[in-house]
Amino acid sequence: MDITEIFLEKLRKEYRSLVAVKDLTLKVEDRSLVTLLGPSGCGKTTTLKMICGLIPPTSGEIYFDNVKVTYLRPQERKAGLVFQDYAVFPTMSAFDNIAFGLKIKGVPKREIKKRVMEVAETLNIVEVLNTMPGRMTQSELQSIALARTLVTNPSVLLLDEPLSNLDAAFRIRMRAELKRLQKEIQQTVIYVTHDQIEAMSISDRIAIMNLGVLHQYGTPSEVYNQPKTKFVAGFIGSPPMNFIDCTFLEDVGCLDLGFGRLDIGKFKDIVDEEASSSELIMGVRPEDIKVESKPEFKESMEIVVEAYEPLGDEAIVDADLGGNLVRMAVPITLTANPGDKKYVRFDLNRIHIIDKKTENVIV
Amino acid sequence: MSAEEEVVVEKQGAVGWIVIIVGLVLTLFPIFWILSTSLKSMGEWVTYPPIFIPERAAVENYVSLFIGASQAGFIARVPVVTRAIIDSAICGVGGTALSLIIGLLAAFGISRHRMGGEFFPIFLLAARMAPPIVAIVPLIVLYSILGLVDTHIGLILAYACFTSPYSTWMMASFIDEVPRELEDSAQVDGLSAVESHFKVTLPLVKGGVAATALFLFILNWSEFILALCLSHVKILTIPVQVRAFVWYSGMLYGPQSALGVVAIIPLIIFSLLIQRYLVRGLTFGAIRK
Amino acid sequence: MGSIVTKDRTWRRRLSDFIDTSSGRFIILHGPIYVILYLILLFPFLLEIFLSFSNWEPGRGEWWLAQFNYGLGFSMVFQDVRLWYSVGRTFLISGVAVCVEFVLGLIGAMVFSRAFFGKRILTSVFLIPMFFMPVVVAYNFWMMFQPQGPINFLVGRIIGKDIIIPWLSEGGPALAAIIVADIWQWTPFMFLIMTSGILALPENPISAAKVLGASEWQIFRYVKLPMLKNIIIIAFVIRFMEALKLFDTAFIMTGGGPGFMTETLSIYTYIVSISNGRLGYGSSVALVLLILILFIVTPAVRPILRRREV
Repeated sequence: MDITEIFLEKLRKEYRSLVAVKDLTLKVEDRSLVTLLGPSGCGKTTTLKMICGLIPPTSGEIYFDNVKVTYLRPQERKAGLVFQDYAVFPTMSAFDNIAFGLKIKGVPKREIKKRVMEVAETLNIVEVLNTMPGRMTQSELQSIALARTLVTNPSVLLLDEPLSNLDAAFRIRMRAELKRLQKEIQQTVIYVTHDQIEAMSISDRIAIMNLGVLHQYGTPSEVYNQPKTKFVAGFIGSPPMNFIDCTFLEDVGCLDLGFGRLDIGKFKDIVDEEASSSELIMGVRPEDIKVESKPEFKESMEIVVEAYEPLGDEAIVDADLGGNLVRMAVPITLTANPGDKKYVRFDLNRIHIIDKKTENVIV
Repeated sequence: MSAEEEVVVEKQGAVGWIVIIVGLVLTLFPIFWILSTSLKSMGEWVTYPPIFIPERAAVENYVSLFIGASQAGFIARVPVVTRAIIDSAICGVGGTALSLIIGLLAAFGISRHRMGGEFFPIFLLAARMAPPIVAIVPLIVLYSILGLVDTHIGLILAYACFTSPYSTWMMASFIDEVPRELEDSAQVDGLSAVESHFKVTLPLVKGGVAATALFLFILNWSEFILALCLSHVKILTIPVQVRAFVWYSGMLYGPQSALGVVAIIPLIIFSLLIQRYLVRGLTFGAIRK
Repeated sequence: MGSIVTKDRTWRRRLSDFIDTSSGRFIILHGPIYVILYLILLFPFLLEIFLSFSNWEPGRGEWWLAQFNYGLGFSMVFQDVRLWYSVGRTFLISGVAVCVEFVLGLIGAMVFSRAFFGKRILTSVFLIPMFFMPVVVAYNFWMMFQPQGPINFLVGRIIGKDIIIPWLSEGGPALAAIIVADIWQWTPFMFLIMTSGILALPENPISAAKVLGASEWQIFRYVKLPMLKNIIIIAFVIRFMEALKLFDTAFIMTGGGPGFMTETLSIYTYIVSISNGRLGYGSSVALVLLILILFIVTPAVRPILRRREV
């Protein structure tokens, strides 16, 4: 497999009424699986289509291996695309569908047959090769669509929400399958999805986008532990991060949380410098809040439980903290009833302080 | 995915333009020919080689249609066509209106209530398949019994009858596109089924109905064989009149072409208006945009 | 005064209640069309059956007095060579015309699938012939095909010497002339159907083909065309169905002549029944033709009905 890295430089797509993609700069390493992650309408599919040539960008450049392909027609790039609805050719059998890319290039029949069979075996669809699309299940159609592009040895494989039409159990299996496949054939893949669990589980790196802007580009662990913006912090992780409004008390070096104060010690100076005002938001994940039944520590703060949901090996406790509804994950051994008093503690290393106005994460 | 996606569409190549130009010439030449003939003066009609562009615009061809030949400077007899235009208009509009009403009612029946079951739509289709002459033969007998030959009413009834399949099918396909739930909720509010048809769905298919009306008018205005057989002396529609020029008045190309041009004008205007709805009506709604 | 008002109201209320029942609805909605269709078609149809068993001619007297010929007319129909020639001829004209119209319409649709300057106006222009009065089209082409008319003139110019093709005065060329007139008028129909069909095609498979590397022509041939198959069939059937009814064009251009070399089945029926006044025999002919066409066209019409169900 040749080296293929994709480089997007200040890619921009404007329509009459909105800017779909704003100055996106991104580098996809060879043989890696990069996910474009974000809610609907964030520009990820538009970006994908620009990469393969179906939509021309308003400005910016696209490079495949340092070759500028920005304005080449899709036929002239060596990309492969799998649509969300698979877009299988309805009038051809599965075999003909897969063979299509080779047939139009004039590859001899014997060679076509060999390569189609190879791919079909890899994807386990040999039995359905002679059926028509009208009679196939969603997962078979997906495999056909995938096979169709793989057989042409594309430089980069573009997948547009390929798993969203499958049912949940199957989706999880296919995730692992796709990842395994990608590693096995050493293919550069750009994957688009709105499901952050999916992205977290299979990607080498994730590009998180919202409203056309790239918020963060990093490994799954980076975007989980060191989110750069409030959006990223709130989007990644399940259950999602809690956000608590607070004010920075400069003289004391504390955050006023409304239901207590948190001494932020070593972060005091950074916050002082970087924050644009004293209005801040503290972000903390449900699993990073320690809940105890007794106020054992100096930092413990009292809360009143509003709801308690047991979930098997852990439970979720909801409480109102200074006007914010906060969800906390606790081990199942801790039980609570609505109205109980409990005590929470925060680990300074596991919180994020966010500037309320700019929504950038300071710590 | 944004709603305003543009996919790159190829631009036209040279071969395409050649096809377009050739097509344009072939399409426009006959139109040009009849126009030019209608403006040729008498001496230019039958010449060899044929004259393509007349020396002057012989407007008297058009004038003579309306006010009689001798006043317009002709020697031969040119029938005055105002009567033909009036007769065509009466039968055209009347037939269209009747066909529209009947078709609309039946369309609701077919679309909303599946009336007539399997049989009726097929029957309508069969009515459209058969050559009109097959029905006309006994129709003449029936009409002479009823005294409807050579009457406006007779022709209007016949027009309505023969165009009712088109009328019904077209409007049924428009009605199909309005979700039934709208009528259902109106009925829950107390309207009867028929009332809900007219008060709820009908306003929503106004465009389709208008297009159907124009389409039917085009059909009726151009209708030849019915008029030929069912009207003789008292009633004269334009298509029959055009032909009449050929046999009775000798070869009066000029005024005859002028009549042709005049007859075409309303059709072209209407056609521009209904182009969007055409495909549905012509293909029994098999293709919906 | 009060009693009259209540009576009126109950009368109206009862009427609207009645309309609301299923039989009431039936009468209102389907009644009119049934009346017209059955009265004007079915009743005469029965009359036609009756007449076809006689050899009535209006000149000879009233129809109910016509002489019964016990179906002799039908055997005459089957032996009527001129009739069957007209049937074959009609199928020939329709077949040739529709095929050519299809090809031309397809070419047009292909060309119009690209973007170009003035596309919308040109589309409207190319659709114009479809709306011409068939009578006027016929008359126009009759003029153009005259021995000394522009068509012969232009052909002569192309060939290099003057040539007079006897378009309308000889059987073969006359048929060709009629077919040309039909093609001119109805190609836009095929063009319209195909263009609409192409516009209605789903976008994603076509995009997928592009990314896979297919050229425009390849996309058209392997992706678009197969997906249009259903529509093409429907267009063919509908157009063919209408073409079989051909009357106006042939009648005006040649009157069925020379002799009867360009008679379509409609023209022949007309001549027999109305020109010659043999309504009895004409009825037999009409019946046979009706049954024939119904038998031939009905199976072909299934695809249309199937779409209707969807």
